[in-house]
Amino acid sequence: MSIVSNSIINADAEARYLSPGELDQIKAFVTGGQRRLRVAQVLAEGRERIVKQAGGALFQRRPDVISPGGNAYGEEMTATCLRDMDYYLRLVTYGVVAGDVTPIEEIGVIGAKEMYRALGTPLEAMATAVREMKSAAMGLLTGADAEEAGSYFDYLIGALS
Amino acid sequence: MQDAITNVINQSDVQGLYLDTSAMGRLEQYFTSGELRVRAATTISANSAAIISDAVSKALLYSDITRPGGNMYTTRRYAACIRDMDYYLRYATYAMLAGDTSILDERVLNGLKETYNSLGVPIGATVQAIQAMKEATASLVGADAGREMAVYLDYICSGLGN
Repeated sequence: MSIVSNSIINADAEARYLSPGELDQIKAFVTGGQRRLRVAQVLAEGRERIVKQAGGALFQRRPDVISPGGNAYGEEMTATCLRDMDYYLRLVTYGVVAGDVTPIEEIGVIGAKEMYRALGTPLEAMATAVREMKSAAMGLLTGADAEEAGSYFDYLIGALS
Repeated sequence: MQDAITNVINQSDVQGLYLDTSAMGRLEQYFTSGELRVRAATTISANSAAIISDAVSKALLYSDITRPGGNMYTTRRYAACIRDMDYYLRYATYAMLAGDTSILDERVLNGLKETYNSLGVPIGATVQAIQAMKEATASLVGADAGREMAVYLDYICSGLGN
């Protein structure tokens, strides 16, 4: 779902055309499209750096997760943890280009708490991981670009907390 | 439903991929054509009644279909025909705005042909009316936007035909 689909579905529920206000929003959305593509590209190109830096920060803050008995203990589990972080970074880029949190929600938020609980993964640590990815990403972006990307990280942090 | 953006996202997501060059290219194309789409949708929504009257008068009026025994005879059936035209124009406008045909499959074409056949609605005349609507729309929104609308109106026609 993007802002475009969202407006269409709302209009269709009332069997009407989109209102001038809805069309204005879509216009603003497509006008800002280039900028959002650029933001997504910076995040995608910086993915290794972002995940590595955030992973390091996470394990420093939460040494328990990579200690014996921790959920990311052992090479394989640590790699899995970093892979999940990369998944979430990818979903943030989807949200950025869609101008909407729905792709993030549908792919990686609904059921995430239940899944991580079942896997014994501490949710706060996942939220911390996303928070650290945000601060690593903010190092690659400036001004309005940073703000735009930041809001999707914030959504995710809230959803995992 | 999908739109041009979620379509690209879903295709990348099932492969677990970040948006690659081709995905980015498709998104860029959509964003570039976005203003044209919004402008066309604005014009169509302000003129939908005129587009439909124009199409109906060109394609359907004073033919066998409006005479006794025809499928548009009785005012009730005439009104139902206009209402259907109204649906097609509105959904084609949604799809044009979205840059994606999925809403037409899900909300218009699914079961439509079967419904028409069971009601005895002539598919040929319906297709002619939609084609007339295509011309009426293009003359209002201009050639570029008209071509884009044609994609979705034609999609409805081919869905009815198959």
